[in-house]
Amino acid sequence: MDKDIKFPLKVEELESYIKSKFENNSDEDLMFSIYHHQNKKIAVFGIRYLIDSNNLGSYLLSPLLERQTTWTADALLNELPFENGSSTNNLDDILDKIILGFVYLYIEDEQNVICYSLMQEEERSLDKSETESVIIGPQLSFTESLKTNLNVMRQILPTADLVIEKIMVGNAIPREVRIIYLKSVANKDDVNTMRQRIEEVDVEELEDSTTLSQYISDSTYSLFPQFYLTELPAHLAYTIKEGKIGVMVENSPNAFIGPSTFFSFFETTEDTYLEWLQATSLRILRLVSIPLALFLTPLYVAILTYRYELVPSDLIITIGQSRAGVPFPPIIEALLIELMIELLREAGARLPTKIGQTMGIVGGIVIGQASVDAGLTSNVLIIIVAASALASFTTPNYLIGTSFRVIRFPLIILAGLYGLIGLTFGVCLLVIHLLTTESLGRPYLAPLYPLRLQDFKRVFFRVPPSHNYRRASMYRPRQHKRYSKQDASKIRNIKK
Amino acid sequence: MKKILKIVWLLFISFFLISCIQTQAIENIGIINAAGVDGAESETESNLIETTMAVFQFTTEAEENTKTVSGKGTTIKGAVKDAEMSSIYKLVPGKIKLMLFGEVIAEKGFLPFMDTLARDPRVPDLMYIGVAHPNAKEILMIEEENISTDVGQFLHGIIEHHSNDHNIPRKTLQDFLHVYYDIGHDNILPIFEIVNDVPKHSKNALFQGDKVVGELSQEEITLVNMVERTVKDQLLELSIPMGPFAESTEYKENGQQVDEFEVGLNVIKSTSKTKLKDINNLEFTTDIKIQLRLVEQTAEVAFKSQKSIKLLEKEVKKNLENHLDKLLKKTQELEADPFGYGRHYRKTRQGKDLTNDEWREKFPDINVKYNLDIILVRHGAID
Repeated sequence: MDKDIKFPLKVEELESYIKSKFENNSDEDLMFSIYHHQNKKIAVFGIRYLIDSNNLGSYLLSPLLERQTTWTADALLNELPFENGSSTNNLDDILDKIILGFVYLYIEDEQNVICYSLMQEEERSLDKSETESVIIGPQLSFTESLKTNLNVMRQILPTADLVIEKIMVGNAIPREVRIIYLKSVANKDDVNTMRQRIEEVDVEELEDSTTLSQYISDSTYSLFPQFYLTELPAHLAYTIKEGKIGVMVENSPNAFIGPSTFFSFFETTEDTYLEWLQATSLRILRLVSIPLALFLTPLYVAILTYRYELVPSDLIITIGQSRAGVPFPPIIEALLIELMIELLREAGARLPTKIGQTMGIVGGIVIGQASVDAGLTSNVLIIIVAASALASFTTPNYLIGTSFRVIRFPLIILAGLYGLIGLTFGVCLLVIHLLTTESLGRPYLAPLYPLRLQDFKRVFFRVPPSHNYRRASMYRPRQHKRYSKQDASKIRNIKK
Repeated sequence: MKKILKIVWLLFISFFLISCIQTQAIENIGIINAAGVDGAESETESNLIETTMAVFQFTTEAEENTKTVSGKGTTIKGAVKDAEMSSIYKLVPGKIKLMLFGEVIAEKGFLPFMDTLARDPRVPDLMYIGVAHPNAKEILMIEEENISTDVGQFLHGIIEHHSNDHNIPRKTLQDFLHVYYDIGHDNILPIFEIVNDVPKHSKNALFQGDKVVGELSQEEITLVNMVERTVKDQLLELSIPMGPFAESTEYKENGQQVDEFEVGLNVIKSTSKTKLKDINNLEFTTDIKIQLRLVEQTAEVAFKSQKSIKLLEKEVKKNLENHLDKLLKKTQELEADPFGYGRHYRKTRQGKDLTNDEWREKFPDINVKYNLDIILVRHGAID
């Protein structure tokens, strides 16, 4: 930068300076207009497509040009009808803010430039959630605009207790990060940990909230996600009320929540909307699907390769017959079909929705029917793989489902190479890994380890409201009680 | 990171151990479903045995999955090896459901075979065992069309569905050995023979140790069960004299007078308790409480009054006691104790341990007093 350029200066000097900074950009982008008013030159500049042109014309330019007396910088600040005006005499500041949609006014030979934010934010409107689908209850999902998201959160939790802290992350391209929690409930240490971790992130730029969650996760080598990623404001609000801490990042439609336990990935807000008995059944179904998703195919491989004794006698003929025509050993067969399913799943996710659906049907029929007819696989395996794929879809959270997809393959290989011993070894490693994993320094396998029987009724089951008055203690909330036990079960009838 | 490298290194090394594990892929083995062991009948090759096995083997071409193979040898292992010569796959014993021993072996004593089977961890201890008459090969070689399933499944089904709970004749290898080593107790195993081209469980073999000494009918097995353990849902067929029921009969059978009529009774539940009353005179009492349901009768006797019901109970009691006494006599003559009275004796006697030989001497002299408590619970609706 030219050191000798300083305010006050001529409008032309300013123009050439600003334009020199935007050298290779298109001339159309930079708006630099010079007006003659009461024998004074006034420069108005900004970046054309960032500025709301309606506001610029009616609220800035018209009062500016219609005034009968001469303008001064102070008069501009006081008399133009915008709340966010400020003045500066630093040329670096101008460059920093002009790219954020600020409009600058400079009256020739004045000491300061005046700026107003006339940013026209382009954003998509609030929409139904796509990745986390909800059947009953609020359907709203976050958008890319942090302002809108915060607005939604304040609407859902209209209490002064809600704290939304702001931290800027990124040295080259800074990005706004918000920590959101309930002051009276969230554990203070956890809040401090979260704040410290985010503050200490030393990166040039930040892509998304998911990237941030990877930077601050307890163990980057873990197979499992340590923060619950959600795009549902209702879910974020629910967990915040539990005493957890949410983090939102500008331009990201996802918030992440910590501390999260392994089992919290199987909770949905929908469980709270349903009656406790139905919710419990559904939640248990989801928990039962964990071993199904992980171990069904490896078990098939291990038993058929090494331990035929474990096949029930009535099944042995069915399985034996369907296996007889298959030219591969069970491990290759299983890997082949699992790979096909993964290909199908990935293709479905990458393709546009309409083509994706067709792909799913075609792929399903081809893989299922044709490969059995062609003698490439046994039909029993098709059922098993389909069942375990279905089971992995029941997880409400996409991240943990992806973890399961990844873990299944080494388990199949272990089962195929070493049999049940290998599978057991794999399971042991998995359990050890889960035991050592932490989320924000809190044990990942809680409430199983450390054992907290009290929390079972919030994690594994749902209980009637009169028994559900405590928050889960494993997150160490500052307030344990949500409401009084006695009041919850009171029924008051108004009698005539 | 170092830790991960260590694990990766360990995994890599362990890949070299893969070939140490023997695979038993289901499509590359012949899974033995039922097996039979026969002794040679001729004197010249008396130590030779023949095994016959119904084997599942899966090939794309074959329509039937079961194949029967047989081989000869001096040991079971040797005979199986010989049989493998006519099978495309290795024969594995992990899913044997039933093992039959030919009569020749059963009379010689088959403990040597049982013992090796029990010691082999790959042989399931829960397989059923039985005696084949006259030999196992004939039964296992039966044409599948005759029984519309494979023979292993068929024989297994016969035992499974015709004895409730774990009553005789449902005897697994484990049960057999348990009773065998239980001093003062002898085994009973089912006998299979071919009747009208179909294997049938016709009677039962009474053992003394590991040798067959006699045969018991199905009715006698029911009685043994009732003395020894709790019996549920079991049919009893008895002949009852007509005399006492003459006045209750609704109408005379075409003017023909009969002396006896048959009743079918269902034992709802029977429980028993045996006590040694007098150790010196070897006097036992066995209390059996039997709840019965009348399911069939050949005469039109109307059980309308409590009196006639009581009468029937009394007749049943008399009849059963009679049968029990006869059965005891029979077993005493054979010197085999299927009721396990010896166990009660051993339990009560002080001092020296009882031996099987000692009990064989004493068993023919024991006296048992049967106290039957018969309750006819239902006699109306018959399903």
